[in-house]
Amino acid sequence: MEKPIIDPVSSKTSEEALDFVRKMQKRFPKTPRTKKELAAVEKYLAKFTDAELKAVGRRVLSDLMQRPPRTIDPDDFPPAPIEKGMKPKAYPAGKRAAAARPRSARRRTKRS
Amino acid sequence: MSYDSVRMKEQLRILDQSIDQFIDRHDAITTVAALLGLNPARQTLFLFPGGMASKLTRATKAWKATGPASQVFKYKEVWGNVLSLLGGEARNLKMHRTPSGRLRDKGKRIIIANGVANLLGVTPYFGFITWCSFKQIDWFIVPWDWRRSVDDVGTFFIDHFLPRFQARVQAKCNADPLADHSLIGHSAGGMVVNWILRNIDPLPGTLRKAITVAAPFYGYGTQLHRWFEGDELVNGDFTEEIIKTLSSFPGCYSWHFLPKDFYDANRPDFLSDLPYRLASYPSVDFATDIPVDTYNPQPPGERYPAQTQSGFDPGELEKAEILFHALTSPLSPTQAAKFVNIRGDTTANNTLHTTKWKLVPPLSPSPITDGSVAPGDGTQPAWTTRDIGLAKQVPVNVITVSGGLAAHAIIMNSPQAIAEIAAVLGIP
Repeated sequence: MEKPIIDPVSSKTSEEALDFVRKMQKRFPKTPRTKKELAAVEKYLAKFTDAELKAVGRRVLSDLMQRPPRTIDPDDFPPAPIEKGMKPKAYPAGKRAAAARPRSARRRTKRS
Repeated sequence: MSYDSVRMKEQLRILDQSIDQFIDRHDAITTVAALLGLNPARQTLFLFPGGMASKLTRATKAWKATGPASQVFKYKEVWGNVLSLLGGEARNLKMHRTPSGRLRDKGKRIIIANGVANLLGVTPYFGFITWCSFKQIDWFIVPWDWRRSVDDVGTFFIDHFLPRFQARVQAKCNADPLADHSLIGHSAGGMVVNWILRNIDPLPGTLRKAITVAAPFYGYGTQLHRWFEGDELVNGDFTEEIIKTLSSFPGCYSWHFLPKDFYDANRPDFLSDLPYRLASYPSVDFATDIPVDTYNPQPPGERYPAQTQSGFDPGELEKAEILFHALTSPLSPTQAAKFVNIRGDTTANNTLHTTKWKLVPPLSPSPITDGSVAPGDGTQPAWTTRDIGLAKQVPVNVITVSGGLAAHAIIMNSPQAIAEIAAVLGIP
């Protein structure tokens, strides 16, 4: 049973697409140029369904602008750095009350 | 005739085929409208694809300095299909500068842009173009050489392409295709649009809008990796040569993170962009977390590879910094009124955000690591995909598209982005 599509970009993950490309690079270590070589590429690609190829194509086109070509899990990284004092995890009791008060216009952030 | 003259002439010759197709589409809409007794308002929309999304083709023979004034070549695709990923083919994209500073393609074999990439049957922008056709918008995809800097590409568009396009369409269709026109650019293509808006002089009254979609105004972290690691999808067994090739592209130097002095000077604006604030400078030292200015990294000589090692060119970095300031300079009220920035937030909070780097040498393993993630379109953090000046001048012209379909590669085809673009262009 085919796995459900959870990413609108492609049903192939970055890892799967990279694996596909690497296998092709191993199979064709020289850029195919002659009719015979190009026919060999066609034959190789014919092993896959159109849907599979398009899924790889979509993922590769997406990942070329992004590095590394792997699935990014937010849990792999710490949260984005926060400016000191802007968003502490736990305010001391005295500061909590101060934080609840409206800020002066000078400090109020503007939405752009 | 100089290399550049021949190259531009050849680029125009190849684009003529696309202009012919534009004329055919234009005529078809005119004919159908006449049959139906309609008189639709016509709009021309120029679409600049993202970086690497334009197909590049390479002349099969070398340009001859002593050759005739008019040199016409045959071309073979060098970038944009699956073969580009095999056998180190991308090495043929390498550029170099002559002693006089002129850019040359490898082996003096001219490279020009021709259409959009097609990878295993997938072409970007299909959904967007289909929508344009359905709405009877006169669209034109402007393929561009993404290896070159956006000022190079923008100058060609303004000085060479537009006059030719206008003249040819007017002659064939008896209508001015620039009477009501707009520009839209995806990703790095948005930076071309940004450059054109700021440099076309005088700013045409008939330019309705200049729209960027997911364009990295303030750079992003991936470029730094490329100078050390190449691109895993392209490298194969040729990593060192691919790094040298990527380092030879002047255009890619301006995809780099913003200069630190610019961040410092505009920090309040980066902080006030809720919920997409850039709370600190995104490039830091691996060990100390002290900011490392991408354009003036300290200590000198210990951040970037030497030019002799990898081809990394400090001269191109200097030029990119000048270009950066030009692309982020204040907008006139008229420019701002026409400028629209659309950005994506997939809400997955998994867009690579900050970069940490170690001192070099060694160059391997890569001294660059990713430090954190932030909201964005999966490729560009949301803080980079809008102009902070525009956000202050005309806040409604900064539009955020959210959800899974806002992912970088597919945002142009997303119904929400298309609806926003339709509203901006006044398309019902």
